[in-house]
Amino acid sequence: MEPQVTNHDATLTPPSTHGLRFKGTGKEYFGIWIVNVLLSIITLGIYSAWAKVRSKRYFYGNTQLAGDHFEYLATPMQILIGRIIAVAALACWSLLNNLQPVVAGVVALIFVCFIPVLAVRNLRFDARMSRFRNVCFDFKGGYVEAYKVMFFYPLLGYLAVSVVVGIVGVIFFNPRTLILAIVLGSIVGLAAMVWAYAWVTAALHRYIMNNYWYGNQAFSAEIQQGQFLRIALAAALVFVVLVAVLLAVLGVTGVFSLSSLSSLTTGGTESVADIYTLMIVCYVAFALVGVIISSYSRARVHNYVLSQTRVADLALSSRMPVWGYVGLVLTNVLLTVCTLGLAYPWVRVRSVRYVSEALAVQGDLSLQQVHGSAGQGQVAIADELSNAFNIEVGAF
Amino acid sequence: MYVVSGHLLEPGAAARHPAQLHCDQHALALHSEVKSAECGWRAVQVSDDLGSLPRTLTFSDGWIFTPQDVPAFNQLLHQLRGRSWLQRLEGSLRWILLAMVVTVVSGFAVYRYGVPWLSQAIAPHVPISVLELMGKQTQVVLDHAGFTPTQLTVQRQQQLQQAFAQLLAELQQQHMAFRVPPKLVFRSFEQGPNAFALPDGTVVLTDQMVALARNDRQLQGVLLHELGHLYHHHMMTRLVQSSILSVAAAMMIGDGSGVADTLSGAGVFLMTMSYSRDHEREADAFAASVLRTQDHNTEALASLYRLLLADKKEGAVPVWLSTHPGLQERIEALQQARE
Repeated sequence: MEPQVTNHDATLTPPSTHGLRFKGTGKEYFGIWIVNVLLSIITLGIYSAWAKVRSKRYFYGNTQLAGDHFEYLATPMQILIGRIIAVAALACWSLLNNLQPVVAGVVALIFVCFIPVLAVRNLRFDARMSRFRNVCFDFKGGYVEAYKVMFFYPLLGYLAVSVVVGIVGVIFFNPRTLILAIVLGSIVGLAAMVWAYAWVTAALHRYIMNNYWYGNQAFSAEIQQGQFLRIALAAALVFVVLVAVLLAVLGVTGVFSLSSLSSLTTGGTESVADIYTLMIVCYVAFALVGVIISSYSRARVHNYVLSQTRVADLALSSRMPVWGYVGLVLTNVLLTVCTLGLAYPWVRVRSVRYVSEALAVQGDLSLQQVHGSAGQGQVAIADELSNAFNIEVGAF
Repeated sequence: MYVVSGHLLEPGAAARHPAQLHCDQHALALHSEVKSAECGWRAVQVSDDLGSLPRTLTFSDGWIFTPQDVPAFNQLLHQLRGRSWLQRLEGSLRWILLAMVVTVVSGFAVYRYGVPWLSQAIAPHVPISVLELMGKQTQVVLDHAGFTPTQLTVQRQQQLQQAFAQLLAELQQQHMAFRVPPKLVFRSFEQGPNAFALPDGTVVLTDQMVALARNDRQLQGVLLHELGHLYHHHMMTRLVQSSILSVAAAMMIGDGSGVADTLSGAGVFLMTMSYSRDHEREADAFAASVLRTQDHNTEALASLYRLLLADKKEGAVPVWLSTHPGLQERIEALQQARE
């Protein structure tokens, strides 16, 4: 190899826009993933900790910004210890649920009370295990604030919605105006729900984004509730339109299947099977509507929150095409189902590429002023517990 | 001696410092304005060999060297330091295909033989107090699910209890032992003829089943089927099976999305159903073997299944979604067992 003249300044000239690049490929990750699955099966799950670290490192390392890549620092042993504890907890809970449903219910209730603690520790672990240019990220959100945004606000939101609906019900409850009461109740209820959703999610994102740190530099994000209200209203509109279309389609096909429904009374077994087919079709259709709505609002929230974020004189911006993202998620579902999960590596890679390449950073990337920790050890108990019990919060 | 350009990062500081690395098979030397070092390869930590990921060198004091030309540096490291076997495995098409085949085969073997075997090994060792607890729990649930006290006359109940006791005595002669002594109870259930066994040894027979049967031998066939479930510890095995599958699925998917979770949940459900159908077949086989030694045929149970088939509207639920195999298949299996 010949000595090369380096030209670092090209990537360091301030202030300019730097896009995130994702260099991973589905083909390459497929090899890593299939070997992960194979070794996990052979070692009865023990290798899964190494597998997790390998695939995390693959995705972090392939995410590159101005010539440097992100790093995932957790070691397999940290993950393994956390994972063993989480699996034991999951097994105990599954047994308890079968043996003593009442006790299991009480345990679940106690567990729910600890979700904010787990979520904070999970955020902190993930942040501390992430590194860029030899400086770690951190999450310094307090527990009190976490209980407020993850517990108290949602509760208050539910309460507010039920109070509003209740008031409408009391005012209009009258046999003569029953239909009016129902219509008004649902309109006011829906409006209250949209408002409560915006209020709760805005507070949650404000809490999360303003508590991340990159070394000695705090993240800051000015999150407006109004923007979330707009997103929620748009999502509600999309939902109404989709459901209307769906009902129209089902109504038309329903007329045709009416003839087979009437033969049910004669006891034909085929028509009974027809009803099951119809039920499954309805279920799948509504599940798809759910996927569309959630990915639509997720994309818009993601774009908004990240574009409001600043750290160390850098401004972030995310310009992900919203309907493009919805299409991505839908095709992912299709790919996963059609290949019985074998397309999972491609699905992961194309999702991560889509999301990360939409992200850009504006400003001086020489980062002279950024100092901090280069990494420390910690056991992944909360991380694994929250994975095992499906607790997910986060803005990325 | 190879020369690599790149940059250095101080531990805990994000500023980049241009640097040059000189290296050969044994040692390396680092030159930059902020730090210079000479050492052997053992003193540096080379980052994971993972696909075409940029590889970096971390020195013992935490400084990181990142090359500018990533593919060239990766190739150089392969040349100087060799490849890890994992990377070879993950990178070669032949190994990937082999891994796929082995994964599918071993996955299927674990599902088909591993999990049932492990569950059957664990189930007989569950403390009896746990079984009793589960039995009590299920009875409470049943009473809320439309099961009401029996309407059978005391005399009829005594007859059936006697038939049950007779069966147990015969089984004992054949040295078939039960962990918990089985007992028979009666319930009424509007939604049709039914019978089942609870983990604590309780066999429940509904009035509607008694009414459906043409003779007591048919009922003894049903009771034998339920005793088969008890003999093979099926309820406990099923519980262990579903626990193992759920935990395994959670571990496999790990950092999956909501969709992956839902799909794996559906997969676990379908597998549990298939295990349940296996148990029904096993219980039928148990009843068939006892009936054959006593009657020289399995007609008692097969004829009852025919009555059930006529009584029920089958086909309502597709077989792969059901806890029981199709009655037609079960009747045919019983008739084959006659030979």
